[in-house]
Amino acid sequence: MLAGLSLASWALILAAVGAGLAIEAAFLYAQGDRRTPRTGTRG
Amino acid sequence: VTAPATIVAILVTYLLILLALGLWARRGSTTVEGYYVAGKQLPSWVVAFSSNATGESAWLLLGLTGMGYSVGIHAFWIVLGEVLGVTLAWVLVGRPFKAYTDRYGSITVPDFLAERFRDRTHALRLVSAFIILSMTAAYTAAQLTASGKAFQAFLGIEYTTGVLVGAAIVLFYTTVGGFKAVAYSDLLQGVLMFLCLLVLPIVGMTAAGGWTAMLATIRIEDPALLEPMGALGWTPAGMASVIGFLAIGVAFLGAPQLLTRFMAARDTRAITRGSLIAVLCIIVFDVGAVLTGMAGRAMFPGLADPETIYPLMGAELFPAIFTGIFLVVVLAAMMSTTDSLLILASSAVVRDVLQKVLRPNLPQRELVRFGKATTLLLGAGAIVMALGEIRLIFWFVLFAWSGLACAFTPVVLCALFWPRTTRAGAVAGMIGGFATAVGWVVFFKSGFYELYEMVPGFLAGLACTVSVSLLTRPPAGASEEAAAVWRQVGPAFRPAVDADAPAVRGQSAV
Repeated sequence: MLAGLSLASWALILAAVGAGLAIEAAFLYAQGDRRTPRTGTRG
Repeated sequence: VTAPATIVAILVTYLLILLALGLWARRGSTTVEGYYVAGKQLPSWVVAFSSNATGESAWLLLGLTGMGYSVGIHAFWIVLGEVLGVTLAWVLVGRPFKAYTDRYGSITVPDFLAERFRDRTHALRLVSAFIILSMTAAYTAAQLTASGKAFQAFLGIEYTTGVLVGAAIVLFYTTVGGFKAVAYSDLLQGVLMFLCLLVLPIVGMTAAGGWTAMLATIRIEDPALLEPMGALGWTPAGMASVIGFLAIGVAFLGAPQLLTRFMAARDTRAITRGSLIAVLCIIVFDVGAVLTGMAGRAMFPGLADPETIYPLMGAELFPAIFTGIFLVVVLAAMMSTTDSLLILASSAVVRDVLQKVLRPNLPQRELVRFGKATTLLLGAGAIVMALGEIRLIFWFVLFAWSGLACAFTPVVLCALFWPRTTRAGAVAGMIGGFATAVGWVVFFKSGFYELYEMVPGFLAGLACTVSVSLLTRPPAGASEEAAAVWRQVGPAFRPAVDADAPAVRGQSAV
């Protein structure tokens, strides 16, 4: 029990918040240094 | 109950801003592309807030807070499913989808599918239009029901009046301003929802005595509310509940009302830039809603209808002036979904049936006039449905959400990531996914631990798309086209092979 919740509950909360953020961080890191080619109506 | 002047003043201010937005966006809505995708000129932050505000309807504030109230920590499975769904949509789907649709000059999802599969028979357009129309009707009616309920709960105004006021405003700015008004009003509405779901759980948990005291109170009432598997535990029913909650997020990968946002973005870079805003936004939306419900459970146990916890907390924990703001936020959540569905359904009728199948030579002005008339007509139909029957918002919305998602998500994912997909496979996938979702609800759901129809619907859609594609002749040129698209956008997680590829300008085929 940690701060009123079981470890399993904390794991679920952490996954719910952290999984998306981790994927997003990896994506932005990979996109960050390179020039992302623009495609679109403004070219 | 009489409505205090401050609440009415806040409400009127909000509604006037929406009307002004409609008039402001009017000039851009004179062509089909302008009316349905805002000329593909939306900046990243508008796309991000618009897509989340559209995906999260009044269900977020009334339904998901109700879930936090009734199942506690177990509702975090919904949060996990939705956060993953939104993240993967922005990271994996958004950029290639934008690149494909610019190549084709598409302004609707059926447009994209018809071009991607070189469908000259119009089968994909007609099947899409049918599914979009039938699902958006139920979905829109559910949102108007939420509007009526909100007016009733906050102001004591009659349900019918609430439905009519909400519908009249949405119909005005959607009809007059088109997609640009829809997207920018979504931005305003998304920001309001974001702020509310940031403040409300903090105030709620503080009022409940802080984090530990809140949990202690909930534990006394029912310890299962604090367990990930809830009261059902590791039973088949518990597992079905978890899988169903996770599957809610699948829709973000292919529901047409959300993909339209990517299409309307200025360029692929706007999607890369908007992704972080979108992910942070959905986290605040969902975590905020579940924690609000949990704080509400600690403070107001024993509610007959858990979906009333949001207005109750707004009324009990804040001074009267804030009641108007909380009402506005529910209306914002409802309107940001309703406007998008109306414009989606209108585009299915006017672009995919009228312009592309029935009357290809009709002038732009005429088409836009038809588009606006269709929006009004669909809105009127939703009003009639909403006034006819009041249902549980959560159930109604989840069904419409899954119907659209099961029809489109498997096919869109295959279209983007598997060049071998054929036209026949796509048609089979759409019909198979949709029919399975509907059939599951009607015939099987109650016998299979209430498993959410998104799971069998999505799997059936995928199976139909893949198997029929493998049985039919491989499409010519699809691999080369896919290679060109991926060269443009580059991989999501690795440096691009050809980062200096020339930009491809969108070709308007309108």
